[in-house]
Amino acid sequence: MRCGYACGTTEHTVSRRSFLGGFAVGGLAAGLGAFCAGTPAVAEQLKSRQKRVLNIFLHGGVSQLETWDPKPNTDTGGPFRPISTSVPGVQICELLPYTAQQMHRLAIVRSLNTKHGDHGRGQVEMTTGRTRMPGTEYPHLGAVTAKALTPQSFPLPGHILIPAGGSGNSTGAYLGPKFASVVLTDGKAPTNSEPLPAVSSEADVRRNQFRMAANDRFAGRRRTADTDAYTFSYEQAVQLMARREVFDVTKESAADQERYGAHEFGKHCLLARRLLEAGVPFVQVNHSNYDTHFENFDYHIEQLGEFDKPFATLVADLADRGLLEDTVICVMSEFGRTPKINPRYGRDHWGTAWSVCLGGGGIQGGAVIGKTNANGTAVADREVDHGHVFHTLMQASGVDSKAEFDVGGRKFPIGDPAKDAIKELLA
Amino acid sequence: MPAPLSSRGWVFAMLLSLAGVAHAGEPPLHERIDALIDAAAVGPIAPSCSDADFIRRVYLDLAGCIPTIAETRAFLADPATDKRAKLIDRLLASPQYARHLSITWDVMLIERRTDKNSNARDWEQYLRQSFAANKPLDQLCRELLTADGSDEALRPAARFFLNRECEPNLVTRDVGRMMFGMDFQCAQCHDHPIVDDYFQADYYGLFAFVMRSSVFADAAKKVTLVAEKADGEASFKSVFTGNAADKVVPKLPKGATLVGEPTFAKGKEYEVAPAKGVRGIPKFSRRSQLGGMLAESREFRRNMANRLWAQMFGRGLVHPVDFHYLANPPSHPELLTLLADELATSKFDARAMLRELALTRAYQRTCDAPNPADLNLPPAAELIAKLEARRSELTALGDAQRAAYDRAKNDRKSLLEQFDKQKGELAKLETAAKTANDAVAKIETEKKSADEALAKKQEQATLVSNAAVRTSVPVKKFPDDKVVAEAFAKLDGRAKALAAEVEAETKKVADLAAKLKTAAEVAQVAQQALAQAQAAAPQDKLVAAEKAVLDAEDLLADARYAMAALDAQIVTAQAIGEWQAKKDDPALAEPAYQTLIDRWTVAGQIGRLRPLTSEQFAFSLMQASGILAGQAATFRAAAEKSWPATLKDVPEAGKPAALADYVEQKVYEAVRGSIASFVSLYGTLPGADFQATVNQALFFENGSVVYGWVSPAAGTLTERLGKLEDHAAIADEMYLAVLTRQPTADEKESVATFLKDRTDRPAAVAEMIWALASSNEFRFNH
Repeated sequence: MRCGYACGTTEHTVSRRSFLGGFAVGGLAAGLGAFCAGTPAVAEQLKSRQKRVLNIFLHGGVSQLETWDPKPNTDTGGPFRPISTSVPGVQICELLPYTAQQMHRLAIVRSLNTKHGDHGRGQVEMTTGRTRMPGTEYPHLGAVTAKALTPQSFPLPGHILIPAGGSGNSTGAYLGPKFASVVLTDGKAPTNSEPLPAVSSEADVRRNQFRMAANDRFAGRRRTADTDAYTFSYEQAVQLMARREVFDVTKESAADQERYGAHEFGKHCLLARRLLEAGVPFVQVNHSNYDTHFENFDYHIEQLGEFDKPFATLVADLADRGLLEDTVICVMSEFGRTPKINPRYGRDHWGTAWSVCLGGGGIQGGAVIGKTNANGTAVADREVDHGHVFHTLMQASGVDSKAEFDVGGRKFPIGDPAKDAIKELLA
Repeated sequence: MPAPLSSRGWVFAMLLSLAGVAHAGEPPLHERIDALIDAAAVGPIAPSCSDADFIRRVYLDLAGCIPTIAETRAFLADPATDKRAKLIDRLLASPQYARHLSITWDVMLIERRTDKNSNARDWEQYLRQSFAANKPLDQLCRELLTADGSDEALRPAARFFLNRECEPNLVTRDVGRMMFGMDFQCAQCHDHPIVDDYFQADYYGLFAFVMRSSVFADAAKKVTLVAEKADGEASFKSVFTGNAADKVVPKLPKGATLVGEPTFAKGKEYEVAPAKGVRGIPKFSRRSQLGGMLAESREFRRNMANRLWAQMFGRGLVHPVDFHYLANPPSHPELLTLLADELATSKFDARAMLRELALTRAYQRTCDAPNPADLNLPPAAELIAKLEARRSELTALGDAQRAAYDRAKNDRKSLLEQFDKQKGELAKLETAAKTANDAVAKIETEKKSADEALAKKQEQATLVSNAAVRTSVPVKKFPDDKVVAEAFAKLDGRAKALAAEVEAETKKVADLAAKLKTAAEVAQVAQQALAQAQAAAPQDKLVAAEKAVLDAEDLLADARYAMAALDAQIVTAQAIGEWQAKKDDPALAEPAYQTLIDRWTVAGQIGRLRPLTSEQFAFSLMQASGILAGQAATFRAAAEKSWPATLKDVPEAGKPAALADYVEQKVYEAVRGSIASFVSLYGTLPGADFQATVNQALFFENGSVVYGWVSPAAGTLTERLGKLEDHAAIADEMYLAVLTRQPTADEKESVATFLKDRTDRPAAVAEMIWALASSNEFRFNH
């Protein structure tokens, strides 16, 4: 990577770092390559068409039978009924009445076989799109999204988790710390974004000006892409401090806070909307806990009762605000739950035949992909796994996931090279 | 076939002569390095850096931190012409050198993983002491690969395996990368998709060395050790091609095969057999073999040399440092070969090698971009023609090496065929010997239990017989006592029966002894037959043939690399041409010139600008703000007042060094937490791309750690300068302390302007110190 020597314009910076620098040459012809001309017009277009990813992770393993793939009147179906949705012929579980009204904007994949039932493994595999192998570490979906979709001049973090969830969730792996997650806890802005009381804003301006004068002098000796990046990180910090209200969900209207609900998940969904509106490329909202080995049905009433309304509200709001076509949505877990109901009215870990919900961006609304057999004990059609879901999410947000990242002179395939997107889901 | 080193020497000499370098006498290594770099240069060679740049650079690279203001002043004022060499030697002997190397190697070997199964502080001490004692690098690496933790002195070295939980794939990947400079990860499931000389067989050859090792928790002693099994074979099947191997012989990557692995009779494979709560120790440890083979590996030597180079120059001759392969040639192939050979000759003396590297003109070059106006470059076409003139010679050399390589391969192939023919016979003899050995073992076991049974029976017979004799006395005296008579009769009968049983057991033992003798004779005959057949088998010849192939492969690689280096020079010459063509249009000329600067930097013609590591950055900030010097003075004064008990036995002559070492450790303990806060934000892995994150900038802007250092707290630079009246003096002190140089006239003026009308001088000074510390000039090593 080289710097533009005496050329420091924004357009130049955008094309230099955010796209061209991120991909192996030649891998992008069909993807974002067309955006890389570096002219002001293109930069403007890029800004307006900025893609984003919203991932909702239901920790513990949500039951596919109580959500996206109900099996009424079978030995495995449980007590709940299916209900009709906004898509004729598509039914989901009655625990999701609000979501049902948004189904024309969402799609269901009912044929996941991820083979394993281990929490750690499931979480890593679903969020990296790679089958876990000893000695290897792959970047989180959020890190990949941030790397591929964050414009160079964007001051906010590109990969945000609300709140922290599970292990290994913050890893940028080979993409480095720049793309590791920033965790928002208790609805607070990121660490160190508040100025120190001892440093007045005038003092901060003065010292930053003195810093920039020093940098200008040093640039006369040598200037590289690295020195530019370092200088820019301070500008970014100043901009982020100026915009730290983005992280403050209480700035949303009382009416909206009411619509999303007073509980944590509701607030987190509203904060997610705020962040996506501000252009953050990747937001993951974590919701716990669905690990229902006991009393599966009671717990799902409770958990999904919390999930349903804010999620549906968020989908509808994104659509109303014109953001949905640029925001790819996924609702995932580490795995599903066993069709067999255990003696404690629970369901156990189950990676063999389960579902995820997708939507927005380049995903075809209302689609249902794949199916399980009559009582949900096996995939009957169009078997896919975490790798296919990852490619689908990336391609639906305009990233050529079959291309490679070039990191430190080494090439890394963005998605599992042995897999590809679920093409019929892409609009 | 000539000996490998001399033949390599010949190629080296030839390449040198091709490059126009005379190989007269044996000048010091740093001169030979410079000769190679200069000979390969296309375009300008930058002049030496200023003394101020040099002292900052060499302190960062050898001591991990910028110098104190006093050290900088003294060095700048020193008129001696050899002051740079003297400084290098002083730094190499300092405790800060050992600390810096131990941090560098910890990051390289453990890659900032969380603590697992071993003690981080012991590991830190182990590395620090290893570098303080200048432990040869091959020995250090051997310890890392072979330590099992049973020897307390070397227990910390077992961290390399233990931290990876002995997970064989993880260990294989990292031994490949860190010891041999090759990342085989993608060859785990199939031959490497991008690198056509990394094979699945290479991966599993290395895997076979380490796969038998596992973590062993000794509950009684509360320590975690490495256990090893005596069995287990590596096997693989390609997920792409279906090619497979089901019993991979351990083999170094692109190197020698493990030969002469002994076979043991069943039950005799272990020094200590593994059991529940018992750590297995095999008689033959594959892991030890791996350690033993290191120093002889060409790839190991090249990797170590390249990593030392990268430490000093910010980039390996091969880049990335763990990606040595044919299509990723070294920037200076002859130089890498020279360094690798010298490293082996010097018995892997890291300090000596770093000294030579620091002495080179290449290391001491300025990183300032040359001014285009000062360049007097010949037309590119002329440069290209001159370079192209060498192609035919290099082509001929490559062809000759290719032919030699093919010959060596064919020789080995025919030997292998011959060996294959004998292999069936040999296998039969091996089986026979093993069967005979097993038979002996079986009879031995039987005889042992028969011996025990006989002894027991004999004891029983004697006791019963004695009882019978004693009972016969009352029978004789009171013949009418029927009860006693009956008892005697029973005992007497039992004694006779037992005597018969003893006789039978005795015979059984004798039979077994005879059987054992026969079996032992059979086993001996079988063993002799096997030994004879093995001696007749061309094992030694095969080893020699493999070595010949490997040597020829190395020479062929050298020739290919030489050609690649020529191609790279031509690309630079072409880039000169492109820039010359665009010279008159600034908009076009600038990027073209930047390309040239990048190429000249890789070629070692201009110094490289490189970011400080997180540790260098934290240490340097604390140095600039006076924190480190303050800490050191406090600990030194305390130690001088009350001499530390741990240094009681140090002889008078060793006291200054011992005190310096003691103070360094105390200071490090005191600042450990501050460094950790930087590592968590700025820490990257060696060779990773530079990344400046917004989180880092926020930490620097608003974090309390940095604020504590630049605020006018007691003992800080800010406090000291806040008391000065003279603006010029403040500027002098501030630039020397933070940027390790005198301010320019322009900068002095800026400082004066900044301070003008400020009534809160300490706060104003704090603002400027913060600004200089957050500047590019501070963040980068230049």
